Amino acid sequence: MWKTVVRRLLILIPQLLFISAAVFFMSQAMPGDALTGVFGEMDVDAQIIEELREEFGLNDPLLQQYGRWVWGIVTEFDFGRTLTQGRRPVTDLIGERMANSVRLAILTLIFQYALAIPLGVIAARRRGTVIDKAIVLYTFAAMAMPTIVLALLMLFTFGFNLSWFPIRGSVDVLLETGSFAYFISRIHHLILPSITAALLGTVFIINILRSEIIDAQNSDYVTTARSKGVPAGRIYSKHILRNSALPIVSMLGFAVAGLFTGSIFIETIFSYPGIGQLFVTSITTRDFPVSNALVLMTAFLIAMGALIGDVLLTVVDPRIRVR
Amino acid sequence: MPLLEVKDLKVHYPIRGGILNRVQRYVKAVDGVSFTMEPGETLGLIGESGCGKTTTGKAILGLCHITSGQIVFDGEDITKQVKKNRSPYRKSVQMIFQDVFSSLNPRKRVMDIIAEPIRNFENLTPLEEKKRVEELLGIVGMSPTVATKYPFEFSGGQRQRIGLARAIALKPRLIVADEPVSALDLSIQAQVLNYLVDIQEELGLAYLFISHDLGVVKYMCKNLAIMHNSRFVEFGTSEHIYENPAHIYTKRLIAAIPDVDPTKRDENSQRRNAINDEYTNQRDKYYKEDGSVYDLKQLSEKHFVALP
Amino acid sequence: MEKLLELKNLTTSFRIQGEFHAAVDGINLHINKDEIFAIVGESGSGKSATAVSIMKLHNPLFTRVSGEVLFNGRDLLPLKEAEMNKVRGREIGMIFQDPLNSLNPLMKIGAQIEESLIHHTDFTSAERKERAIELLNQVGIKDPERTYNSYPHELSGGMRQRVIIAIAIAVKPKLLIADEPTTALDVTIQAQILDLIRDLQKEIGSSIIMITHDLGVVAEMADRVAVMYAGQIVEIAPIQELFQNPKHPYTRSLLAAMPSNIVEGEKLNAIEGIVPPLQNMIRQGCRFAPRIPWIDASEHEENPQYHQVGENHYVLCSCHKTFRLKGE
Repeated sequence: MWKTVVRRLLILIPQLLFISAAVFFMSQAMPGDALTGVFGEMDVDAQIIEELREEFGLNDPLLQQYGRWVWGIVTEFDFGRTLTQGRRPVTDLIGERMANSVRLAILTLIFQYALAIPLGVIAARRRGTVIDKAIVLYTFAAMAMPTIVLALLMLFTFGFNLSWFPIRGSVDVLLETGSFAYFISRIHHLILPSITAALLGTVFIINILRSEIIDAQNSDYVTTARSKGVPAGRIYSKHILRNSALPIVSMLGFAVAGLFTGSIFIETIFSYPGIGQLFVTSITTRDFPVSNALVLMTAFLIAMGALIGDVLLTVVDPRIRVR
Repeated sequence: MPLLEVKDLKVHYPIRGGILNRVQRYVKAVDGVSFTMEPGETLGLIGESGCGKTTTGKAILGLCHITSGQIVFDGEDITKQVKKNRSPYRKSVQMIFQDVFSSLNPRKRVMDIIAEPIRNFENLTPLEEKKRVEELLGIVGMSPTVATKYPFEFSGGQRQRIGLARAIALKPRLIVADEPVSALDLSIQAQVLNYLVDIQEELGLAYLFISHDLGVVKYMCKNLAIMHNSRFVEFGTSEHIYENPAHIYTKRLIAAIPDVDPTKRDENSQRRNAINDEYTNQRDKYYKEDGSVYDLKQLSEKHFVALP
Repeated sequence: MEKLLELKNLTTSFRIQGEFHAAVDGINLHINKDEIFAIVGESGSGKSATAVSIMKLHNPLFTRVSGEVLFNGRDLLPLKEAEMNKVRGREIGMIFQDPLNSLNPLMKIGAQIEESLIHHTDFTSAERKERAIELLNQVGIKDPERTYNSYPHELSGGMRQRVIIAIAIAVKPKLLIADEPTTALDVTIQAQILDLIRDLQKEIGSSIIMITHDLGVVAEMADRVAVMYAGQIVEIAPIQELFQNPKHPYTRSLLAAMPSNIVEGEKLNAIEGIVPPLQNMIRQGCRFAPRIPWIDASEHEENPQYHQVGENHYVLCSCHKTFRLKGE
């Protein structure tokens, strides 16, 4: 199996190289650059802007810029410096946002599965009943619901009107770092965005789980188990659930990667300082070193997610034996 | 002149693996098969699952890559062009499938299913085409009114007859029939087999009849090839093979056919056990050391067997 | 002879577009102790539905079963699931058609055999393992220890079917129901599996119901046979009687349709028409009449009855008396 993993990682190199080129040149094709973004509206001497451009290397030939960028990444893991936020290294900037996004992603994932598994199982076991229909209705409604609408609704109701949850930020900065109250404040800030994201993201898992369980219920091996006299409870725990979880396991890697990209709306609306928010700011300010690095990172995460999903699948499913 | 000559046909599939995904070894699906078929002949190709009988059929139809060997049709070497679309060979060789439920496009009307090969090869006016389809439906015993229906409206046997009408639409000379009646009930199977025989007489068709059912094959075929481990173990007329099987594998296969006479139960069972013992204990008499099958050698004019 | 199982007026209906249609239409039969009883018929005859009804394995949402299923004199139909689970596997074992899909792909063979033992015995886990390996041995698996730790996909079709048989006989049930046990197998493997089933039947002393479409398998295995057509038993007879003296037009037509029964050069007897789909089945008169249109309507009974034509040999409808195959 390790051979397959190595092979997949090797294939990743040209893939990332291609994406990096595509991203780099496409971003350059957009009108303007970081400096037009910052100074465009203000009355700044064109001379100064031109000097800054020269200093940042923005006037060099594109190929040279691209080469410099890739070389920096490969040799020193240096993604360049942000053009707008105090010339700090992009890696630093992403690093500090990353922790926030990871927290949000983990909590969202927990809520998603905590919702999906019971709902999927109940819907499948009570297929055709009112409760099944209600769950199916919910999945359709959630699929049709744009993230922004639900997020604003949640923010307005639970944050603004009821004041149960904070409406912005990731933690109360006045609290002492590392204290228990600080920790609780983090969780408090996380709950509303993560529940919002989970309510929408979970419906795909519910749908898959429901249909997989229904398929498994009618499968021959379940009939065999029933013919042995195995009680229904054990049939679900030993035969149906594990087999129905296979597609979800293979999706898990994607789900994790998707959470980072998918949280753009959530982070923006809840003013939560994570990767998604950083992505939006970097694009609106044409801070290409940051946005390019984020796109590359997302591509890498998705590829890794797929790989992890496949590896997990070989662990759970004995039929898949990779040479 | 024989209609079809297959010479030392080999189909090997590569197995890839390792970091660089290189070919590590080959699965030899067909490993050196030769036979000839005369026009209008039915040759039965018999064997158990995985023996290579279906791959042999596919190779002849150009549906898989031929590793080596030669296919001569009507005196012309067509090994290189079997895969070419719209070659005259493609027109002369057609196939019918086992799975009558998935081999007809569910979204097409019977009319379009049967006319499809005609449209690929001939330019007919819609009126001529309609006439032709109705004629073909008549040959397989169906009313012209079914032309506008969809496959799901038909039973398994009727679907196989539609498949047959499609196969004969271009007046082929050879039909490769891969387990054409295995999925059908006995009474329906009889119907389809009767049509196959009638059409053969009418159009002078040759059949390569691939099957695992020795009863059906015995009824349909004058000549039989028994396949095992990707090669022929025995080849000859039906009488030779059923009355006088020479290879242990053939004997075993024939002994395994259930007998419809319940009084012979014990007798059959004993014979079966004796043959199985010979098959397991005296394998070296019939197979090479590595378990592969010997080359065929001639026993009589029309009887060949793979023995040392 | 002692009766082990008796079906009285068993009717199994399936829901199709909101309406229930009987696939098994009021059949009566009994199975004796130590007997191999075959139910033969083509698709749509109701033979498999009969088997599954005895075990009550149908999804109750889409199925209705009525009548009586008397096992050792006790009616199984009114039993609750929990009680029925004590009968399944313990009193009645089942062997299925498709050896690949009938085993859980994610579970080791040993665990799948032991499941029956967990529910029907007080064995410790060591005893269960010992018994599972003994069973694998008994069904003729050469390397039982290794097979115990294998997954289904690592075994050949024939081996898997042996495992299914091991599961079915794990607690030595008094009745085995084998639903097309060899249909998915190659002919040489089929012969081996049939031999195995016959040997095991003698060994553990159970009765067997063989559900099959293959008259050859029937001839090789059964003591008595019921021929089913369109949800009814049309003929029931001891094995030799059925093959030497078949009476019902359907039985006779089937035998004449077998390629191996044909002298060379003759045509096979194709039965006209098709088995009607469940929703369109006409449930009055002789159900086989539309497929033998050359037989005059007056030959059939309006309300077909069973006629005794020999010892333990019964035929449905009077049309058997004058029936001749087409062209005879």
